[in-house]
Parts: sequence; C-alpha cells; structure tokens
Amino acid sequence: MPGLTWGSPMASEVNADFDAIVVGSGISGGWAAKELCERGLKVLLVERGRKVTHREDYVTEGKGNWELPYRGQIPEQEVERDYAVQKDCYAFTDFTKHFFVNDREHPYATPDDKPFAWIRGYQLGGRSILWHRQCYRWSDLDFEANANDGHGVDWPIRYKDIAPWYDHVETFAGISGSFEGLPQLPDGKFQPPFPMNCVEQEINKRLESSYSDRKLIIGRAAHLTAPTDEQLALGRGRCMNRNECQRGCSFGAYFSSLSATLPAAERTGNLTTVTDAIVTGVNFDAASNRATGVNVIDANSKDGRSYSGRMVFLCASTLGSTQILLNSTSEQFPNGLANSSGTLGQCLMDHLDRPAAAGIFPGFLDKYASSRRASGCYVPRFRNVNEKDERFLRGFGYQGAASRQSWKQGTATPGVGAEMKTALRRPGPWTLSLTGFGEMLPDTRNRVWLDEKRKDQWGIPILQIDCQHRENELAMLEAIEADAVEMMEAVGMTNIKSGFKAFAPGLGIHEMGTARMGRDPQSSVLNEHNQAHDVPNLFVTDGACMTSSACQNPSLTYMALTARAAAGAVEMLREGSI
Amino acid sequence: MRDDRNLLTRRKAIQGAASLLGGAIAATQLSTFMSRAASAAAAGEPPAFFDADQFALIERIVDVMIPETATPGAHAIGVHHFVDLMLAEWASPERQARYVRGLEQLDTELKRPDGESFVDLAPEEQLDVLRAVDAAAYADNAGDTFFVELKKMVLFSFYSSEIGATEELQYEALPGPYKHCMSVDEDVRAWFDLGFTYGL
Ligand SMILES: Cc1cc2nc3c(=O)[nH]c(=O)nc-3n(C[C@H](O)[C@H](O)[C@H](O)COP(=O)(O)OP(=O)(O)OC[C@H]3O[C@@H](n4cnc5c(N)ncnc54)[C@H](O)[C@@H]3O)c2cc1C
Repeated sequence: MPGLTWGSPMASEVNADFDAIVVGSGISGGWAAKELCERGLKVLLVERGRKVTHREDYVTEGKGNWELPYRGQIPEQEVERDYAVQKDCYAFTDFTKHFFVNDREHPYATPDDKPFAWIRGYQLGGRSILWHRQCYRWSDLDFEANANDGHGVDWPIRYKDIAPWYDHVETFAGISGSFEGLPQLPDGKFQPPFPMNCVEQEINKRLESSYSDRKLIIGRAAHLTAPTDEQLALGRGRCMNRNECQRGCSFGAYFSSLSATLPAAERTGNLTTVTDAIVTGVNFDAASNRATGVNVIDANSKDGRSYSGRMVFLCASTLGSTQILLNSTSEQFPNGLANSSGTLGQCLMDHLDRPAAAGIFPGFLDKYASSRRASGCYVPRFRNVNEKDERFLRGFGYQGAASRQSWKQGTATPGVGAEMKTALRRPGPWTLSLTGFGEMLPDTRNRVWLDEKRKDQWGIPILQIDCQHRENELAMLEAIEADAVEMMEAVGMTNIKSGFKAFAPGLGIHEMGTARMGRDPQSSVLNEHNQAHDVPNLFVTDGACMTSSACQNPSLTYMALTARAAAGAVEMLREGSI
Repeated sequence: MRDDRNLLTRRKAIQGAASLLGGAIAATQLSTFMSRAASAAAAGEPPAFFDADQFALIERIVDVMIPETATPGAHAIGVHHFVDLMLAEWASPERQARYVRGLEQLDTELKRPDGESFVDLAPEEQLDVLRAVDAAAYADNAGDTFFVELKKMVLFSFYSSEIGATEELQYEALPGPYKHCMSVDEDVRAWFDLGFTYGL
C-alpha cells in the first residue's frame, strides 16, 4: 500500500503541483500546514511515520497501571534490544512507547565517548504528542546574547519581531500561565494559570524574602484552562489534570498537532497529508535557483516517488531537517542544499538538563492537594540577568513541583509489616525537587554530518553526531546544583539531596541549531524569514534554525517562528518574489 | 476530605457478578476481568519462574512484609504470583540470575540461629527476622542489597495493583480542577503515585 493519503484534493490528485510542501507534522510542521492552508495555499504535508488518529489511537489513555501486563514497565530485553536510546527519556514507559522510535530501525552514530541521545517520535503529530507542554517566551536577553558575548552569530531578529507571533500562537494553542512582569521571561496571552499548592506558595514567599531576583512561579503550559470558542469549535476541551498527556488526550486539552493545528488546516479544504513517506531530499533546479519539490521513499514498500511544489517548508525536527538538507546534493551544492556557507550541521545545542536537588519541606502535614496537575512550577533565570556572573556565560532556570510522598518512600526507608503498611497508607512529608535547564553555547565543534558509508534500511546515509558539554556548560552545571541546594536551605528545607548526574546532551530533548538563522549568508543558512539565503523558496522553521539556545523550552519559539515564516512566505509568493 | 470515596471497583463488580452466579464463575471468564496474577493466585497455579522452594519463600515474604490488616494484604491479592510473572516475562536474564542468587542468600540470612528455615517459623517470628534483615539492608554501609531490590518489587506489585492503588491508597481517574490546599485529617489516604518510573 502506498502511503496513506487523505484530505483534499483526493488521493488520485496527489501528483498535482502543490503551492507548498511541508515536511514533518510535529509542532513545527503542524503550524506550517495550518498557516499556509489558512492563507489559501494548497499544501501537501509529508510525514515519515504512521497515521495516528486523534482519540482512536490513544490506546493506553486513561488506563490504570494494573490494566497493563507489567503495570507500565516494558520487558527489559525488549528495552535493550529496541530502545537503547529512547529508554533514557523520562517519559518512556509501556504507556507511551508506541509514540517513540525503535532505535534499532533508526540508527545514527556518535563517538564512543560522546553519547548524544536523539529522542524521537516518528508519526503523524511527531513529538507534539509526547511533549511536556512547557511554553516560555524568549526575550532580548536571549536574542542579543550572541551579539553581546561573541559566541555564535547574531540573531537576525529581536523580541519585537517575534512578539506579535508569540501572541498569535499562544492565542490559538492555549497557554495557561501567570502574569509576572519579568523582563527576562515576557508574559504572554495566557489562559488562567493552574494554582500553585500551599507549599509551593510558601516556598515562593520565602524565596522572595531571601532573594530579590528569584521566585517560584507556576509553569506556563499548553493546556486549556478556559477554552476559547475557536478551541471548542476544534473539539478541544478543558484540562482534567490527569497529567498523563504523553499517552494522548481525547479532551484535546493540551496542544498537539493532532488536537489543534492539523484539524485547523484540514477544515480549510486545502490540506493533503501523506504518511509513511520518508523525505530523502529536496529537489533543486539550478537554472531557476529554486527548490522544485521533494523525493520520498515509502516507509513500507520502499518505493521511491517525488512531489513537486512551489515552495518547501522543512519541519522534520532539528536533526531531521538538517539530515535532509545534507542529503540533497547537486553540482551547485555538493555539501548539502543551501550550504554555500559551509555552516550546515554546525552548532548543535541542547539544554543542560540536570536534576539539581531534592529535599523535604517540613510542616503543612494537615494540607494536601489533588493527586495530579498538568504542569509543575518554574524558577525563571536569575544568573547573568542583572549582574554578570564570573563563572559562566548565559543562564538557566529550574522546573519542579512540591508534592507529598506516597508509597515509593517505602522503598527508601526501613520498615516491614503492618507498621510499614499503615504508615504508607498516609501521605508522607512534602518534598520539592528542582531540575535545571541551562543554556548551551553555539559551538562549531558540536556538529553533525552524514556517514556516506553507513545507510539505514531506506538507503539514507545515517547521521553522525558529535556533541558534548564544554567548559561553559560544565561550570554552569555546577552552579545549577549549588544554587538549588542554597535556595532549598534558604527556604528551610531539610534532607536535601544533590549530586545527581547531569544528563548526556540530547536528553534535554531541546536539540537546536545546525541550520542557523543569521544576517550574513557567509556564516548562516537562513535569513530573518527562515528562508534559505541560497534558495529563496526553501524555508526551515523547526529547531534547526536556532542561532542560540536560551534556557527556556524552545517549542513555543518554533511555533512563533514557523507562523511568522509562513506569513512571510505567502506574501513573497503573492508578490512573485519566490 | 472524606476518606471513603471509593469508586465501585472492577473487582467489586466482579465479586458482585460472581455472587449473582452463585459463585460459579469460571476461572477463564474471571481471568478476562482480573489481572493474570490474581487469577493465577485464585486458581493456585504453579509459578512460571521460581521453583517450589523459591516461590514458597517469596510467598511468605510478601505476606509478612505487607500483611492483611483492616485492608487486604499482599498475599490475598496474589503479589507473589505477580512477582513470579514479572521475573518470568519482564526481567532480563541478568535480573533473573540476580534473583536466583539473591533468594538463595536471603534464605540463609533469614534462617533462625538454630538453622530453622524462615518458611517454617511462626508468623511473629517471621516478622522479627524480616525486620532484622530489613534494618541491616538500610544500614549506612549496606550498599545495594538484593533485599532492597526485592522490597521495591513487592511494594510496586502491591501498590500498582487495582486494590493497592484504589483501595489501599486513593486514585483519581479524572482529577478535574486542581485543588491546591485541602485540609485533611490524619486518616487521609495517600494518592497512588503515578510516576513515570518506579526504580525497580
Ligand atoms: C518527553 C518530551 C518532553 C518535551 N517537553 C517539552 C516541553 O515541555 N517544552 C518544549 O518546548 N519542548 C518539549 N519537548 C520538545 C518538543 O517535543 C520538540 O521541540 C518539538 O516537538 C519539535 O517540533 P518539530 O515539529 O520541530 O519536531 P517533531 O515534533 O519531532 O516533529 C518532526 C516530524 O517530522 C517527521 N520527519 C522527520 N524526518 C522526516 C523525513 N525525512 N520525512 C518526512 N517526515 C519526517 C517526524 O516523523 C515527526 O513527525 C519535549 C519532547 C519530549 C519527547
């Protein structure tokens, strides 16, 4: 069976010319499809993974652990055999594994001493099904960072360029959050925040009295707490706080391509979607200096075919899009399409993801909160904001939440018999844990390229990834731990544990860079419109475009950049400039 | 907050159905409703991984570790069968080998000084012996012990069962708006902790 096709026009017309081809249906591709379709373009969305149907295919949604054969655990041998990389993702369980790739089928290579965890979801919706929904605006502290300290090239945009697009995507996606007035973490178009529990509120109070620049706020998360008419019309509803989102949500309460952008694109009648279709390269016509379409291999039959379109949007995720460009060679671009600068593949970044510290918050034993909440809390960046830190450049934030311990405390403390059972029936003490998310510098030595000798089962050269935490990152990792411990002590916490291992790059799951935006075609791949300097009708709007990494979760910024680029591209198409 | 907000659990529904049928519900029918471990326990099936001696030891340990109180204990809900199933189908060969070695050693550690086997001791004596081994396993210099690994497995098996999660503890299928600061009594039950990992 050739790749499943549906939408409008009909399957038989799929060989027609499209106004735009969008590669990848995750967070970025969903937005590209929606924005282009809504502006009247006939769009072909090409997705390498299987079709996932909203609701129907959320096969573990709502199940209790006891309803799965191993209560959520995956047989250990299966994990080692098929998920050697994905297993390190915190969200990888028997409830979610069908939304992660099988590592055996999707190889890549790293030097032995420099692991990089490439966490992926190949399916309609990509990782928008799996993500943790944390959404934070970047500010000019971030967009000016490269210019200020000289690492990487300058961003070709500033906050004012992207702010209206943050408004636009937040309004549609639905972001819950609180207004804080912090310059380094601009407020947005928020739906009502989830409440912080009484201990989190108390911790914030004490933090604010100990520090002028630190606070604990509720996380900003892509959850509907007060759905708009537009969201209701798309079949989305209010969040029930199950916090089992990675299994899929039939309420459509969290933002995903399946709940939000793809239905919006489909209702225009302008979208055609093909799944099980792996894009191997972008076709290029040297005479007109234009991309003409994409080559595709059917994931199942392995037959090849191609699609043509007037413009191409690459949204196959950071490394997916770069792999496609590197694999699109021609006489004019022997080292990868749109790579006249030679920078394609360089400056891979992720977030330093480090469980920093955890401890007990004494008291409040007569208080309890609901069992689950769909967002944790956030400590916005405070280093290198007002004062310069001598130890490292840039900054970090923390994510974490306070809750009372449950039965798992029994595995960490002595006790057996009725005494233990009776004690574990009651909630334990309040605890708080903080995980740091730190900025990585853009460094040309952290890079990816194709290994022409090793190919995957579809004949595509596999990606080589060489990326590591370097001096600045190592100094920051120390501060992430030390600051967390200090803050916990300051708010009166006890039994503070730290010394947890930092994660290998990749496990922040915020991989960024490798086809960066910049002002100068000599040192960057994309311009301020996410348009390839070299090929005017080629756009890359996923994480590959990022010029620096900030410390905030990046997907909201991918959304805004994608929507902005789509609007710009349509304008150029109408003007006839592409 | 009230502590008796029990949903009608499936088990109760099954029990209700079974009593309507005069208790004559067939094991095969039952197993489509109940977990495999529970039905194995109900049918008195032989273990799939452990040998008879190992299984007898596991069976006694789970019963002593999480006994019946006002609520069902681990034995009644077939935790020993679930541990056996996990070892047979979930565990890696390395873990299986660790369990075989660990149980052999634990059997020795659990012997009374006069050599009497743990399984032959009176229940109160079993509790004393298990408590001593448990205390030693959590001593500062104990390192990683098999006993702690087994205890994690037993606790996971008990609390992630339907009875464990919904009756021993509490479980909200659909929490709804987040209640951020409820006043609770001393007898409030803990939420079943729905984490991503259980550190087995
Ligand atoms: C567990 C988890 C938690 C996360 N939490 C957060 C968070 O809280 N906040 C945040 O900002 N981010 C978070 N992320 C990261 C977030 O998911 C990604 O940044 C985001 O999904 C990237 O969007 P994308 O569209 O660029 O890529 P993806 O969502 O990965 O989508 C890419 C799509 O392209 C397809 N594709 C790839 N190659 C090809 C090809 N050759 N041909 C055709 N199709 C192709 C893929 O199958 C996929 O569907 C999290 C991720 C995970 C896994």
